[in-house]
Amino acid sequence: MKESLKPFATGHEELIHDLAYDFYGRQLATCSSDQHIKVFDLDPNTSEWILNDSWKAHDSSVVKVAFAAPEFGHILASISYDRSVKIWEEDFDEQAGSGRRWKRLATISGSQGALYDIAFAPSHLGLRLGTIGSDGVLRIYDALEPSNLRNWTLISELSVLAVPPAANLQSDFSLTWSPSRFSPEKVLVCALDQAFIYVKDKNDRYVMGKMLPEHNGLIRSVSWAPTMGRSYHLIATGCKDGYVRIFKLTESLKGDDGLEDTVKELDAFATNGAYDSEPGSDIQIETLSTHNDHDGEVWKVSWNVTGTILSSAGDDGTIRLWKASYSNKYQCMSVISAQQK
Amino acid sequence: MTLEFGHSSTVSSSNKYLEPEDEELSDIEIPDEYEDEMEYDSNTNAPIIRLKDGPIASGEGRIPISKNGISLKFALSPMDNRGAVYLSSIDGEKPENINTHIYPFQVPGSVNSEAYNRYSEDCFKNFEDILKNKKYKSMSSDLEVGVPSLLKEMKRTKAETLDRHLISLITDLQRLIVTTLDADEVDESEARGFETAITVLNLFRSLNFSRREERIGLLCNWVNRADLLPFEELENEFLSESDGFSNILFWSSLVQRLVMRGLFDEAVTVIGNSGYETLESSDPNLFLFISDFCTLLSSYDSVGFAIDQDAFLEWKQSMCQLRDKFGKIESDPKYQYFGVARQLEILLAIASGSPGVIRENTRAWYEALVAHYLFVLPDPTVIQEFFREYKTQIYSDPTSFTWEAACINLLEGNILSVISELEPQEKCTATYLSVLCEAGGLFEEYLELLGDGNNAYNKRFLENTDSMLKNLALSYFSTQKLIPVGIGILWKMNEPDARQIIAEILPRWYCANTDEFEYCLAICSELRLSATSAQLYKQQGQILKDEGWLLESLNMFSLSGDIGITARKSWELFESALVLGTKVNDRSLEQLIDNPSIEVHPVLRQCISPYAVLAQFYDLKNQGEIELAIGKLVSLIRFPYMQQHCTPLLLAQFVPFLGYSSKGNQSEVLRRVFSPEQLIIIIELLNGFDEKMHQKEPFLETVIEKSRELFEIAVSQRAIERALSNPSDWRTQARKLNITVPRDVKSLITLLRKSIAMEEGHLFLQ
Repeated sequence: MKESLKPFATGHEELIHDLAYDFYGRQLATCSSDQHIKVFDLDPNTSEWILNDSWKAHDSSVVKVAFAAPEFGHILASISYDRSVKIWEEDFDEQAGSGRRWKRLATISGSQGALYDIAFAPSHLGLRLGTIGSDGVLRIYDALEPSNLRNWTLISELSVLAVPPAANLQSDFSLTWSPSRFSPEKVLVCALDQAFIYVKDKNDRYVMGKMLPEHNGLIRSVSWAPTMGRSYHLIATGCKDGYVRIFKLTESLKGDDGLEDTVKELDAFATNGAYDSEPGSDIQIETLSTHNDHDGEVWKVSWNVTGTILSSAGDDGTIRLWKASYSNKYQCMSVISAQQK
Repeated sequence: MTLEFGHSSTVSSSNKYLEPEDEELSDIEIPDEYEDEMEYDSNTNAPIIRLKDGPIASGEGRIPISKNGISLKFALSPMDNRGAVYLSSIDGEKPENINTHIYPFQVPGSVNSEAYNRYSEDCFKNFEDILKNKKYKSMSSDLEVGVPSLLKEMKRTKAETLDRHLISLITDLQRLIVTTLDADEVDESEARGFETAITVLNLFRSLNFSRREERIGLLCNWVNRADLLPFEELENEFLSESDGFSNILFWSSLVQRLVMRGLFDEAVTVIGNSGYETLESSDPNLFLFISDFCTLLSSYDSVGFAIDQDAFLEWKQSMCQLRDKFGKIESDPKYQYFGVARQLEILLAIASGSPGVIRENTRAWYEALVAHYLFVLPDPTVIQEFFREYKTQIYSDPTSFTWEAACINLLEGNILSVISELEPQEKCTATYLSVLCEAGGLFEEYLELLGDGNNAYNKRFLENTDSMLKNLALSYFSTQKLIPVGIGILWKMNEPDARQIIAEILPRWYCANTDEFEYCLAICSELRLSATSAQLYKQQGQILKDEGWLLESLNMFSLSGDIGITARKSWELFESALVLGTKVNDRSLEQLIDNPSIEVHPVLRQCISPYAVLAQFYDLKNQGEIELAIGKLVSLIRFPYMQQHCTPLLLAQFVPFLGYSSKGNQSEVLRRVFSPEQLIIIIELLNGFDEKMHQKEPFLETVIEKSRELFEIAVSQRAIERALSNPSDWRTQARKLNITVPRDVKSLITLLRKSIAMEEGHLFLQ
């Protein structure tokens, strides 16, 4: 029988909140309510994960971790209910397992509430990250000076919700960037049961472009698929209402005046990185597919590296893998059950 | 026994030769490696794969896991089709039971083995020529106008080419099956996919592309590969006694099946081993019939008969004559060998091509089909006739895709259906099979049926093979080692969106060596992907840096054209050398500094120049050229673009030089080196830095914070201990001079000021 992948203990003392792979899938970071981050290295010979280091990272539960693109070095970002973002860099001069292997480069404060999600922008946009927290504010930071990753500048602060949710109410927030380098910058932010796409206007400011329709509950997870040559984008959400939804986002560069307008728009995009026309007016959103086969809340959705397979995890204790048929209908092609037989 | 076609279970398709009523055979152990219990999801009918020792305890039916205060989450690895599952909390709540394990998984349907990667590479190499610019499309239709002999020759060449590709595909797949089974690195569903694929390919080859003279042999091979007859085991079972020939089951269950599957040599051998020679004296008549039957079987010319029907009919006539002659034998049930004679009569009838007898005595439709082809008439038309006649009796479960279902579809000409059903099981083989079909013009019939090629459905159909190839390429992008194969497919096909896809996927490739990296750069250059190549340079720079190739790494960063990142990495090198108190150990870097004629990117030379000066300072200091060394140090501190957070550590280098005066020590190495002018410069430098330390600008605050961090790292106990091995390190020298190494920047400034004051005092007194 083929070598089976073995479960392994992380050593966290509380439940894990997040798990992230690095760009090449050779490193894995976990974070937990125990306020620690642990990083594991993949042993390519045995396919086993070896502890690289573990350290106390925050003063409250660490809820998300994210690796930056590899050209910026071994950079890891973490967020916590303690309202801070921390940027870490692997120090190869330090021993693995010493607790000092990951050096804190920066601590970014500013959120008025517990942070829920963090995501690095695709690398062609530079070293940029977005955060969203219970104050309902999307914050975007840039490491403007590449020689100094200790210095992060808040370049945008947008209130996604008119009023932050009451502290006693269940809430969830998430965000994802459009990974495409061939279309203008976009970031999708989910706050409670609403999902907003932010685009840049002609003044290079982030503005709300479009909303994803249909959600009837907290949006638990969102994932933007790599475009891989497609002329449209695919976005998936996992919702408390039990649905996995797949949206198709099409951008039209062509205005009513035909080619001339297109050229103008392209020129504007080339010059400003944004279109001249009304932000979001060139975006059409279509619901491609909805599935409630998890028979309960959907906790996580994620596209694979080519945007051809969507995976979703839900309350039925399964991960479902969805794939489009040749007629572009998404079907569940496989189910991975986490439940013992 | 009557003919029951395709009596297979829905999932397991092995061991069809064992009938429930074959009681005498039922205790023979047949390996059932593919027998497993597949579970299917009740909502979607998708197959369920359970995680080994999964995190959720078994229970009845589906349990909403949130009832236990937990949620199920996962992450997908960007590479090698893997992921990891874990249990998490719901909205920060703390459940009773805490499970902090991670459960890695392999994405179902993805094969991740060295052997499979090699198979994928071999397939691509094999088909590279007909993928180029979608040559398989232009090959599909044959020229109809031209010199007939040339047209015929072209058709023959095309068939030979396609057959050659098909043979390679079969050979590679066979090798894959053997390798993966030997290495035990394949699971049941994968093995089933491979077996189905090889069976489909074998039948496909016998029906298409193969030369006519090969067809009989190929059909026999197909059946015997798909449903292996363990004749040696059966032979041992039936021939355990010396007069094995008298066992009726020997004839009905072994010889008959060997004959119907075209295994004539094996049939003659087992008959020879049955001890029937004893009949020569006891029943010479029967002996002679058996001998004649064996002779005729041995003379079956599967190559010749496929092309020469007259020769076949002549052989068949001989068999009929033997049958007729045999019919005159004693038919008295009291005859000692009545049972054997009866079986021999059936065998003769089968070999004479009696459809009724074949039908009555076969156990599976494919055996019957081959027997028809062998003995009724070895002509392709027989296949159609066979299906017309027996269609209703061939049972195949429409809900499952087994090799039998695939082969029935193939024999009925439903190639597209076979390909589309094979694809989920064995994507690579199915895709290349589609390429062969398209190139061989086997989809022409579908096109004729579809007529208008303009509507969306038909267009999609026309692009089916293209889509499959593209999907195959995309599926390879989830496996590191197959990324070049995926790129190769898109590149060869010359797909319009290939450039964009390649631009997105190339950076995902972890280039393990220079060849791979140069291959990536060549692609970028060919497709004019300048932004991608810049990204690749930066990524490769980081990989080389992690591996300790400093100069090579810096060179990559500079070639990316990103001056900022080159500068950052160069300053990191500078900082590292400053903290270490010595040059970094890199021979290439040293050569570059020592030899200005070595050609490197000008940006790189400029960016590492501060490091070069620092390295020269260390060299001069080691050589005892203190004055020159001090000159280098001063020029470094005064360098207008010096990273200001490095200044304290640069200033710290003065500590041992000023130590002579401050402690009144006399050292061979350390002697008074400062002129009054130099002391003034140091004072100015100190003042400048001190002033900045007291400013409240946000930028300077960061600089001060950074300088504090860097200095504290440099004077940490570990760093001091590490520096002990270097006698010319400022910390080691300070300790030698009984100077306490300052613990922070403020103490350093104080120490320097005091030392300078002492030095000035000495100068004044002199």
